[in-house]
Amino acid sequence: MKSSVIKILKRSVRNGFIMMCFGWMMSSCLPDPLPVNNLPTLEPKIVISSQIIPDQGLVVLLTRSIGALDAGDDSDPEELLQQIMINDALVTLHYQNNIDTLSSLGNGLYGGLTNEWTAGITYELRAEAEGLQNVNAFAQLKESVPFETVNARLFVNEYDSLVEVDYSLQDPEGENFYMVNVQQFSSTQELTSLLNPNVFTYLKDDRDFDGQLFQDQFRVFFREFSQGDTVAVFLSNVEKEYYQFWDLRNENRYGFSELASEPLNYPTNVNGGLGFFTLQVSDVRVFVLE
Amino acid sequence: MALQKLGGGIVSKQFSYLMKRIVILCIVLLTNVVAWTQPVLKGRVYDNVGKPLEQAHIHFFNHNKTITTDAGGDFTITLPAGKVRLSISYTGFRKLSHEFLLKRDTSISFFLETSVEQLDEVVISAKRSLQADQFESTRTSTFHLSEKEINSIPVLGGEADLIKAIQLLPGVSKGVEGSSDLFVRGGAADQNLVLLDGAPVYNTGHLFGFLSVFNPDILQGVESINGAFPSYYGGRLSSILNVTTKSQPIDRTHVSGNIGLLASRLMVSQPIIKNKLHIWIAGRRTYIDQVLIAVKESLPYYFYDLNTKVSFRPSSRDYLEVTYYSGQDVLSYAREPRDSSRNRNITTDFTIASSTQTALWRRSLFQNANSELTLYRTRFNYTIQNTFEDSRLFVNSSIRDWGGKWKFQWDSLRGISLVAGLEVIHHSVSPNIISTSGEISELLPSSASAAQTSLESSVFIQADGKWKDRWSWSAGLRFSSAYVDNQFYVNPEPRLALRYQLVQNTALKISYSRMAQYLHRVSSSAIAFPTDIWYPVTENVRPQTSDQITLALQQVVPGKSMFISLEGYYKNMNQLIGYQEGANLFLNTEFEEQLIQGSGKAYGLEILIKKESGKFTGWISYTLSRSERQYDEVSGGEWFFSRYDRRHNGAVVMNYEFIKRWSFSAVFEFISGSRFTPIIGQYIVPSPTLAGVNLIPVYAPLNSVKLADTHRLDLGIKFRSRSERKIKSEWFAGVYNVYNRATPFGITIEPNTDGSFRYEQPGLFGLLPFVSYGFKF
Repeated sequence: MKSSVIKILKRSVRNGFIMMCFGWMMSSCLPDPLPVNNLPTLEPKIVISSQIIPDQGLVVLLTRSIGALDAGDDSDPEELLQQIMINDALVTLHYQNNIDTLSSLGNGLYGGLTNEWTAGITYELRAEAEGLQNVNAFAQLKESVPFETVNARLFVNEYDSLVEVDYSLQDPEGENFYMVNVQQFSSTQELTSLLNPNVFTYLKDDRDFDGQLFQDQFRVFFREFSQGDTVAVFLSNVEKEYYQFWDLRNENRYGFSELASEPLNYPTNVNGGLGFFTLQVSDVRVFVLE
Repeated sequence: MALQKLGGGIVSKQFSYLMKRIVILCIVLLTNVVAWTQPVLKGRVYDNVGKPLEQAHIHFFNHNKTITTDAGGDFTITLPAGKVRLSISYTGFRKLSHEFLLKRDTSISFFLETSVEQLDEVVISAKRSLQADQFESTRTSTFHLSEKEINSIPVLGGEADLIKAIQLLPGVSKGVEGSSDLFVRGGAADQNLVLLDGAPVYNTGHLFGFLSVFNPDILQGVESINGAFPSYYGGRLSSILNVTTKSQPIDRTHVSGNIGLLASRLMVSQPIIKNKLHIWIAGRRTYIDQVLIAVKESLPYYFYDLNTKVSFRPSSRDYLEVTYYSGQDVLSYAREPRDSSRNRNITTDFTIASSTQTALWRRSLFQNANSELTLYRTRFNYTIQNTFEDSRLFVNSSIRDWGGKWKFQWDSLRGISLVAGLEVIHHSVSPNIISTSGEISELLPSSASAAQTSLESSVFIQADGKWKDRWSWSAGLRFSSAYVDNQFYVNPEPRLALRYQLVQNTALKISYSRMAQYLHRVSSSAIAFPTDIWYPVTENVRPQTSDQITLALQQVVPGKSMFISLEGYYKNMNQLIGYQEGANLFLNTEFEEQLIQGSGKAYGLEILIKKESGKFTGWISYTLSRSERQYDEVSGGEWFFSRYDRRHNGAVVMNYEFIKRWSFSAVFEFISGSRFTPIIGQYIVPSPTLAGVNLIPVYAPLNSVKLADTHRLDLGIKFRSRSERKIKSEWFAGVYNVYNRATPFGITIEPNTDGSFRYEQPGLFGLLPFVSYGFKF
């Protein structure tokens, strides 16, 4: 009895000593980080975002860029929006010798136009805000392409519970870039997060099916879905630059690739500012998963 | 961005091209066999106790010729029959003169007596100063480190590390702290040709790059050439790191070993036939994983390496050598599912493997001429096999070379020496094979980069001579080429060097070198990963070239074994490999689309003061430099600083034998911060579903921010057992980063407790003690 206690004690002391040495070595590997001084600051710029909402017309969101330390992934999105929205700007839309002024709708939103939108026409958006550089951007309304068929269903296997989306579309002649988005609304809450929401973006260009009926299928991975969840599936025919922007976002969405990738300032079509002025119209279908 | 495609463009007759080279190789082999029938004088130089003396100088008066002994104290020379008058000199020993009649092949032993009058004043060095020898030549930008120097430096983890020692020399900048990357004179990490006994080594780091693959026990020394490249070296733009393992003859069995915190090593040297056949075997392995198994814990990582060399001297004229190196890093991790209802098993197997095999045949030919033929094979590959639930990922990348180099060297009696030869390397590259199944295949579909083969060949010639009393010169030409994908690239690479003796022991040197590189490592510009890919030139990726001018003022202080060098350089680089903004190279088989090519320029001033013998040895180095890049596709085509542009880079390395058997060593390093591209702003973009907003980062202009300067002190103390003991031992203990200062690798954004954010510059390694025990008998 006594010898076994001694053995246990010896082993504990030996193990403890080894682990202590190892732990000490590892912890001593971390010196205090050095402070950072005199980093260049980003001059605030106007950021444009836009979308045509069916039956409501064009809506433009005007915000300003902020410093890297002003917000993070855990920031309150509503507080952040309050901090950066621009409500006193003059926003005008120029097209075919017409100039329309967008009214402020509050919360940095501008809209109120009820014009007839024509595919193929180039529209110019201009924005002026006090203390910020004036900006302008051009966009062309792409032909709206709806789903021919679409279905979203639960895909359950031994490991995962995913959503599988089947869809088809009739591709118009010419170069087109499609963005299919899947938004999850779980049965217990509406949205998982307003900041960096977990929207799945699937991109497809028509290089291989120009002018043809195209059928496709994909799975929404790295997310868990359950019976009763609602998913909205969006299809948009977008401009090439906007497509490339989301393609780059997709490539850099995971931490391990950011470490190995080169620094990237995302492209913008806003002269003097940031963001994207786009005029796509989305076809949205909603499914309740069974 | 001028296209480097000279001499014929696309060549379709690959067969005839190969045949030409085979014929040339046959001629070379035949030449090697032919020997001149003049008498050969063989000798060995010993000290007064019978120990062979390496690098003793033997001057032949009748022929105005000076040679040096090899590591075993041996020399061989072919002379015309007749009277021979020679003198032998060695620091700390009396000069020996001798005269005799040479009629036939002769073998003589010489014993030098210690110079008593010097013993009271100086400690005799065990070896001649290689650095001082360099002073006599036209060479600049070349540094030698011996096994002893490498082993005396306190380093991370206490494991003597050749690469870490090289990083303390002028002109060499380090990357991320602790890594084995070298950035030489503004170049990139892949622009250094690392040779182990003549074979290229593609992966120089164990422990994910934090420890070099060279076992310090078997090292004989290293030569680092950063400029004024001899024409028999090429293939990389920035440096040649010529690592040699032990080869001096031994008269009995020697065993040495070392037990350290990171790894333990053992080496056995065994004569099989005295003065004819010898073998060296050295191995090294981490053992912490085995220790933890003993206490029922686990560390899923280990590395090992094995070096073997067999040398054979079948005749007085021939020397044969076969060397083998193999090393692996293995990370193997498996976690059993804890939730029995779902099979959430995780396994990771990551293996990095390198190996080289070299065969060398050196033959003394006719008068003062010898031939050296090296054949080698080298291989580097890594595999990753991951499973998580139903997801399977398999990644493999490899490069394998078969190569040969033949060098003919002739020291003519008229004071001109000539080197000529050729080199052929066949690269087989399988850049990236990715095989996936399960959910991960949605994110990362199976794909493979096209396998590549390329044939790199070169012919070279170089002549060295003297003109009047004060001038020496060296002129060489290397004609290199690469054949890949029906694309043929050719680059003439002239090399010139001049030396002018200003006053006794002071010389002014100037040199020009052009270099071409046909193989690149596809790596993030910030950090090298073990998963980086080697990739040859293609139709779209052209060879990189550089032109470098060096001006040097060198001085030796003979009484103090000191070497002082002041060098300035300017290097211009063309077709430098770069990456598109946002390029993602990780697990990317389409990486060639992300490559861009541009220009680079680097210039600087370097100072080295080195003392190689006596109680106090070491060096002080300082580099003032600037390195810039320009790519049409990046930063609007403007010039910008390279990632590891470091304005000031200085080091003090010292070893002091303060009491008999006790020595103290220290390294102090000061380095300007490298360049970084931090996030300086952000903005929001609504998600396409309007369900929220995405935060998009805004980066500062590329490499526009300098990280904090850093400095670090490492200390070590060594205690040796009495030299007369049969089993000699030594303890080496010390501390890395004594005052725990961070060496930043980047700028990160961290949250404060109140919800706000701050910038930080974190480092990797703080104060880290080490201890090791070495023995030999």
